[in-house]
Amino acid sequence: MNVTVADDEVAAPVEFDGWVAARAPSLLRFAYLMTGSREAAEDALQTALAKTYEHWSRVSVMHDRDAYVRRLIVNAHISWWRRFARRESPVDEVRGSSALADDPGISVPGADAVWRLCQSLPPKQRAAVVLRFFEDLTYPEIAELLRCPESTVRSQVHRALATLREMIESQEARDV
Amino acid sequence: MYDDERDPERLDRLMRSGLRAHASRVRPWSDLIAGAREEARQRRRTRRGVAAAAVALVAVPGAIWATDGRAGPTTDDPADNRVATGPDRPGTTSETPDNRFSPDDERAIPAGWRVESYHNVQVRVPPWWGWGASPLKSPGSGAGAKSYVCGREVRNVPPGHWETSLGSSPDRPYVGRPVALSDVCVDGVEETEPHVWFDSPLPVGIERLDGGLQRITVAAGGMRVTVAHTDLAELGLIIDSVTAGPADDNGCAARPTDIYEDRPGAADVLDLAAAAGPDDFGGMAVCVYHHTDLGAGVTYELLYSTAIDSDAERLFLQRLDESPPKTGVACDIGESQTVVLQPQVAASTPQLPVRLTSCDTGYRSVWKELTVGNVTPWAVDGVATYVDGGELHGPVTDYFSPGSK
Repeated sequence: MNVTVADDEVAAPVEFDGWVAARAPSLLRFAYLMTGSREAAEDALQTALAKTYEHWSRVSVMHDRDAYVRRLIVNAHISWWRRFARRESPVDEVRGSSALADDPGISVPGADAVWRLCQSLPPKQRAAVVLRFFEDLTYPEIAELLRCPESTVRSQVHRALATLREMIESQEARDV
Repeated sequence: MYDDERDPERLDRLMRSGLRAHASRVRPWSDLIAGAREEARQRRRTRRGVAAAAVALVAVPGAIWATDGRAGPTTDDPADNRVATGPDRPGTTSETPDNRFSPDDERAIPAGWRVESYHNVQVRVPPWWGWGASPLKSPGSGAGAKSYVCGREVRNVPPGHWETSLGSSPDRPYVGRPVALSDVCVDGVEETEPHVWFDSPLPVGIERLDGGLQRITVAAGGMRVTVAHTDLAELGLIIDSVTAGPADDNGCAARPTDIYEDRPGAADVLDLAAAAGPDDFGGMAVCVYHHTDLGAGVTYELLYSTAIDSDAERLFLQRLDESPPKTGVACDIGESQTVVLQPQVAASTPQLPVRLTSCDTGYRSVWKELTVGNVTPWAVDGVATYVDGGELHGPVTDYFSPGSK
C-alpha cells in the first residue's frame, strides 16, 4: 500500500543515528513486551530499524516516527509467530513457574500475573494490551496502528483485563 | 476477593505497573545502529538481485523501474526525499513488499464472520463454515497416544439446515469440537477441507498437508487451536482472531459458576417481554454448556454458542408465552449438557436454562414445555450438531443431535 503523507504530518527531518540513540531504549522495551524475550526483541527491533533506515528520507519527516517503527515490530512479531510458533509453546511456559518470579528485580505486586497473561495472548491482542497500558495510546490510535476497528481493540483489551482479574482472584483464593 | 466496584482502576494500574516492571529489564545494546545499517544493506542487495532477475525474465513495455535498471522507489541514493508515492500503475512492475512505505500487511476480519467459541477460547470464521467433531485425545500421553474422531459423518452441517446434519457430504469447511457425535470413531483421518479444531491434540507448529492445506496450531487460553486452510490470507485472519477470555463475544460466560441461579434482581422474562416495545429487543445468545463432575462438584464449560437476532428473539418469547406449562416432574437426573438462553429485553439479560433430561424437559424459570414452535427460533446453526436431544420425545427431537439414542 502506498501512503501519501499529508502536509500536517511532515516534521523537520532528523538524523537517523541521533534518533535511534534517543528512541532505542523505549522501542526495545516495547519490542521486549511484544516478543517476550530479549533475543527476539533485539531481532525484531533491528529488522524494524533496518526497514526504517531504508526509508529514512521519508520517515525522518514524519511526526510520529515511533508509531511507524512500533507497527513494523508488531507486524514482524505476528509474522514470526505464524511462521515459527512450533518452536515454542506459550502454554507450557505460562503454566510453569515464571522465570521472572525468581528475578529479584521484579517485585511489583501482580507483575507476574501480568506477564503470564501477556505470554498467553495471541500477538495482536498482546499488541493491543501493550500499546494501551505501556505506551498509553488511545483506542483510536491503537486501532490505526493495528489496522483494525476500534471496537475490536476495545474488546481485546477488555477481555485481557477480565482474564487478568480471574487470574488474580484465583491467586488470591489459593493464598487464603 | 478482587472488588472492582470499590477500585475500578486497580486492574489498569496493575497492568501498567506490571508491564513497566518487566520492560525495565532490557537495555539496548551498543551496536544497534550499525546492525540496522548492515541489515538494510543486505536487504537492498537481495532486492536488487530479484529486480535484475525480473528484468531478464519479463519485458514489460513502459515499466519504468524495470527498464531503467532501478529496483523501485527505494534507491541507494540517500538524497531520495520523496515524501509520497502514487498508486501502482498498470503495466509497471509492482513494488516488492519491502519497498512499501507503509508496513501495512494486516487486514481486518470481514463483516459477517461469526464467533465460534469453546471453553474460554474464541475464533472467528466465515459464515458458510459448518460444524463437526475434532479429534478426541485417547487416555494417556506420549508417543503411543492416539486421537480419534467420533462422528466424522456428522460434520459440515450447513448453517440453518439442521435437517441435513446426518449424511451430508463432507465437502464444507468446518469448526470442530472435541466431542463424540456418534459411536463410530476413526483415527488417522485424512483431512481435505479447511477446519478449526478446538483443544487440538496437535503440537504447536506449522505443517503442510496433501491437497494444499496449510495447518497451523497455536496455544491460547490453556488449550491448542488448530486452523487449516488452503487460502493463507484467510488462514492468517482466522489465526489472528483467536483470543481467550472469561466470556465470548456472543455474551456467553466461559465457565459460569451456577447456570440455574437467576441473576440478582432479574425480572421474569415473559413479564419483561410483554411490557417491551418493538425496539426493546436486542437479540439472544444461545449458550451450550457441558457438565463435568470430577468429584468436587459439577463445573460448567462453554461448548458452543450462537446469537440470534432480535426478530427471532421476539418470536421465541412470544411463542414461549403461548406455550403450555411444563408437565414433567422436576428430577435430579444429572444431565451432561444444558442450554442457557440469554434474551436481551429492555436493557435486561435474564438467564433461561433449558433442561433436556428424560424426566425433566423444558424451560426452567418460566416452567414451560419444549415445543417445536418455541424451539425453532433458537435451535439453529450448530445447535443441531452439538446439543444432545437423545432424551427427548416427539417431533422436537428432530431439532437436536440424536445423541446415543
